[in-house]
Amino acid sequence: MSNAHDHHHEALDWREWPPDEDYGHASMGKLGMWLFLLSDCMSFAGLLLGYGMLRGGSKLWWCSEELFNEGVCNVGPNGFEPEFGIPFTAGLTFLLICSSVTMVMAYAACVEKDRKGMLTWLGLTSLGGALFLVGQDIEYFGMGHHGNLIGLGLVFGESARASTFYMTTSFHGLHVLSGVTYLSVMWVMAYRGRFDGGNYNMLEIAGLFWHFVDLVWILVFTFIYLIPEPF
Amino acid sequence: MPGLTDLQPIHTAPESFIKRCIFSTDHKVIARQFLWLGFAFMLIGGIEAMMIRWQWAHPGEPVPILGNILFGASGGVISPAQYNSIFTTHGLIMIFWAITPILIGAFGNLCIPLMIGARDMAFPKLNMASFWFAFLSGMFVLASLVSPLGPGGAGWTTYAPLSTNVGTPGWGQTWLVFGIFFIGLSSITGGINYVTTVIRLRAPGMTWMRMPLTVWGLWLTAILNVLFVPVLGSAGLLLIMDRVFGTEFFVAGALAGQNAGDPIVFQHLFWIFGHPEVYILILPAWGIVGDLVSFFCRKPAYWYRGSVYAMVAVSILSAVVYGHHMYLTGMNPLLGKSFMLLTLIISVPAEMLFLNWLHTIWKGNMRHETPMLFALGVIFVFGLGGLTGLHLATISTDIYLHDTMWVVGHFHLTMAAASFLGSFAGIYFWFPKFFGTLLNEKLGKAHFYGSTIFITLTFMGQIVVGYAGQQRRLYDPYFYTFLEHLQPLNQMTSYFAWALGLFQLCFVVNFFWSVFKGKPASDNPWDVGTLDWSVSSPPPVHNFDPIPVVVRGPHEYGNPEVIKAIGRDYLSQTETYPPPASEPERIVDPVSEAGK
Amino acid sequence: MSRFTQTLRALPATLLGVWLINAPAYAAVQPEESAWSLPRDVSVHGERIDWLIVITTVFVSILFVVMCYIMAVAFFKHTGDDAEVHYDHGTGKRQITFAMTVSALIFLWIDGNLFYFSMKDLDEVFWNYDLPQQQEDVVLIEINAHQWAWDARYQGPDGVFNTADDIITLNDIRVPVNRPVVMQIASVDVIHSFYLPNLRMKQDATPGMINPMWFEADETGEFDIACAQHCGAHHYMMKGMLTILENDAYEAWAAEASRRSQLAYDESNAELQWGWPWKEI
Ligand code: HEA
Ligand code: HEA
Ligand code: CUA
Ligand SMILES: [Cu+2]
Repeated sequence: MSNAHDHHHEALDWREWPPDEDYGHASMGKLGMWLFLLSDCMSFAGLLLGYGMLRGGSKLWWCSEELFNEGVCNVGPNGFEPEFGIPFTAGLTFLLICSSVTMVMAYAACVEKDRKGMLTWLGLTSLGGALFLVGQDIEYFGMGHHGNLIGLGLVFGESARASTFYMTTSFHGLHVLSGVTYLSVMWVMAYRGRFDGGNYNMLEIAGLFWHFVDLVWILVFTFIYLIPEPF
Repeated sequence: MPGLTDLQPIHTAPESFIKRCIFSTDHKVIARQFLWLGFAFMLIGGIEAMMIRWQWAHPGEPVPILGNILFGASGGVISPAQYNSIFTTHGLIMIFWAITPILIGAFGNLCIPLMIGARDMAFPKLNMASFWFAFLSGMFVLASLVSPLGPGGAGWTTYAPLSTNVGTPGWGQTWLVFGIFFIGLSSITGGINYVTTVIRLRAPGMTWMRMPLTVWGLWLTAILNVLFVPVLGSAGLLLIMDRVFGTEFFVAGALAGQNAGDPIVFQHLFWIFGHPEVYILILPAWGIVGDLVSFFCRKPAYWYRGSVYAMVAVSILSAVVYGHHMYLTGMNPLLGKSFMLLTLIISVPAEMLFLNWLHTIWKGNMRHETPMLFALGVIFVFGLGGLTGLHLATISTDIYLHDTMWVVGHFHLTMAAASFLGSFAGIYFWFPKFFGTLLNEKLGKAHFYGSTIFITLTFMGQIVVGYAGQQRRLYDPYFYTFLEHLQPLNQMTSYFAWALGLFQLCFVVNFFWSVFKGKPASDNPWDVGTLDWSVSSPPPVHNFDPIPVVVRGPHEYGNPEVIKAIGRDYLSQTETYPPPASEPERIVDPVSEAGK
Repeated sequence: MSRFTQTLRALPATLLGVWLINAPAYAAVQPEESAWSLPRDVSVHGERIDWLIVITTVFVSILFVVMCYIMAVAFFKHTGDDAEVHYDHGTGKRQITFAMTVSALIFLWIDGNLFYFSMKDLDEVFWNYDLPQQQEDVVLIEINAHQWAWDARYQGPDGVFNTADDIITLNDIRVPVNRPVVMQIASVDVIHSFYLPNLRMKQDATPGMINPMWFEADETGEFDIACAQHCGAHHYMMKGMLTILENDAYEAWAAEASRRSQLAYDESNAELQWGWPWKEI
């Protein structure tokens, strides 16, 4: 082979391969993650669409305490279903948004080769996710005066409102759990020095996933919690 | 910092048998694994089809040979519930475990890297996972087949509430839903892999508009898989909840506000996936046909870009026509009419494809080799299938034809005939790249003529009884007075179907004989210029060394100037023309450089 | 009977190429009543559907024949050593314009025809419930499907559903000839589909929904009611009988049936109270 090759070899960054305008420049991992997120988006879309159709088609969606007392309906162990604790969940939403911000900080720290900053922000992001899960646990099962939707009569399988609620929020919760696990693995890798020297690609990919989980939550929160009844 | 080698490493063949043949990450091995899986299930699905035809030819009589083994309790006679399980699992197995693994799993894995000049898939381990998900899902289906209360019997569409415990109790249906869920996972992981590979790992010079049509078809299929299979996943998840955890998403409640589920929701979710799914099954076949007509008529593919745009258009439109399966559910009239218009519009790109194929074979020099014959077969049967779709796309005629055998005939002509023959076109064509040998041409031709003739007769037989009003999924159609006179017709169709089944033996014999005893094939037995034919048969572990540089499109055949100059009627995708006086200035392949 | 002859109805299958290929084989088993044909049409409006199916089949058959002709010529003529390859990428402006024009023309011709007549038929007849309901002599029937039979309910002399004088029948629906019949169809368990092959009508019966359908018969006789949607083990046995009577005979039957229903009426039997107040459509 001729010497001209070696010359090219030095000039080429792997992100520039193949050297052709027709090609994207995202790394394969990143592309793969984007595709996965598109796909995952559609599974949430399926659940939310199902929820929308059930709710849109129902004559009476929420059997509230008032309606129960008027004798209109009788659902679940208590005869009526509780309200969703919007302020509490709004807090959780805020927490998740914050964890997205810390994720961006971790990424920025990595790019700036700030090892300590990266570990701190990454740790905080995982922590945010974990706290969100604790919050969801409180919401379902209760702690002190908070939450306990199940105890208040919102039981999976008793009504379409309850079933779609648990289905969608727990499916999202599962994503948060995977995200926390994923981020923890990233933290260990960061600790071992894999991302030192501004090697941010894998961190960026993890960030994509985390931002997605966050974004989807905002949609879930809007559709499931915020749309008033009757709307 | 990952080096260039990370992108396309040269791996050596693993030593151990397990790593080489079972848990392999080599796309060619995975392609063969998918092929075997597909054939095994196609055999099961095919035998089931033969039993369906037996029931309609001789309702209530014991099934010969298999009857005593399978339906011993009823003296060899299929019972109504068993009949339901048979067509349900026949439909599901053929779609998800026969055609999908062969057309998408096997060809996608084999052809994409070889045709775009890559050393492997973008994510080899994910690729391996994709196969094992498929394998696992296959096991779920087998579990369903032997479940105590029988396999699921709610139809391949698994419409709720029949598919909930209301209609089909027992584990059979649940296993089936699990199976669908996992084959979906396999399709999604495979799809992510295919899409990324095509975007990132094309050889230098392999621009979008120089990709073989096969790769286009597979790529679009992969996108549809990634986007729409998850919706089926959600529907399946909700269905499993209904079956196992006592929710009632799809069971209409007696009282408002209490368990107010809705069966129609399942239909929407199913068809949002289901309609793209049917194009998932045909796009690879279209791509293969588009390439083969050019390769074997020694002529450039006519208006290549037009074919690409048409396939892209079909893929996009496929997302917005699903409502045509639900015209009679009592949907909003305006919505129904919109779906009708959109569905009819799909026939425009389909016509463009056909015109391009016909233009390609016109005034060429057709070589009557088996892959070409099968490609012609695809055009023939898909013509019938596509054209009979128009009657269904129109609401007023669909009022009469919906849920009749006309629908069954339509989709067998499109997928059981066109995708089925398309799979065979691919197998005969790429056999050297799969197994290093060629299939026998004589047996291949017998297989082709037998299959195409009898497939047409069988499935047109379905269209005819559909036209006469026969509903689908009938254990004994002749229970209805207005269908009594159809028995001789159905009987004749059954004979055709059995003939079709028997002709598949030509293939089975040919296949095993060629795999184990066939003569080694040359690198390029068909005189074709795409990259897959520039490597040995079968290709080495890392395919290309060095990575080729592409200079032209895939269909450069029959150029009189070239024939005069070099005495050959085609140019490969890497060949410069006119031949350079000296060694050409090539774009380097830093990957293979770095790998050394 | 409509203006179509039996032969004309056999045309689609014939044209779709089957006839050419299968005819000799099928000829041996051909029964007296043509298996190739649509079932007998006894409705006023069914011929709209028949006509559209037939004409579309004729149109697409023309396309199909052209396609087969091109394939055959290419197969037999454009092959062999002396075949001269017409080297052409088909990318010329004129060629592309040609391809697009042909596709557009086929679309306007076949799909345009389908769309136009389907819209017309739906708006004028099949989905136009004003047409029957404006007529004085309209017959209203509620259909309730369950595994595996059809319940029917007529409002009776009082003109109100779910009262003691309702006529209730099982798998036995009687309607007068030449009077519009409007049905509202529901189901209690799984999805069924109410199918009247001889009237070219079909409508899904879905739990939780009430779907309308209407028709007008123009001949008397006894015909099958069929279930078109897979609904479980005995889907194939979900057969009912539609009896189309002369108007007088129908009125006589209705009066008698209502009288008997009133006698047999049992308020405490909840099973029999499945009707619903007629829904405005
Ligand atoms: C590979 C699978 C496949 C393909 C490609 C198609 C293609 C099409 N299908 Fe089909 N369809 C199915 C598989 C497929 N279908 C299945 C599985 C079902 C039933 C599922 C079930 O209920 O179980 C179904 C059901 C189905 C229905 C629902 C029917 C009902 O349940 O009542 C409808 C309705 O619109 C429909 C329409 C169409 C249309 C308009 C096309 C169009 O894409 C067709 C376009 C093609 C053409 C229009 C032909 C091209 C042109 C020529 C041949 C002429 C060329 C000649 C010259 C240029 C000279 N299909
Ligand atoms: C791609 C999908 C596909 C394929 C290929 C087929 C193939 C066939 N189908 Fe099927 N069918 C469906 C999809 C398919 N079908 C679906 C979705 C349904 C609807 C189910 C429902 O209603 O829910 C259906 C329903 C259906 C019915 C209607 C049942 C009913 O409504 O009651 C009938 C009846 O004739 C039928 C017949 C046949 C026949 C005769 C074949 C023949 O073509 C089969 C010929 C094939 C073989 C005999 C196998 C040969 C084996 C090999 C080639 C393997 C080689 C092996 C090795 C090398 C090891 N099918
Ligand atoms: Cu009821 Cu089929
Ligand atoms: Cu469709």
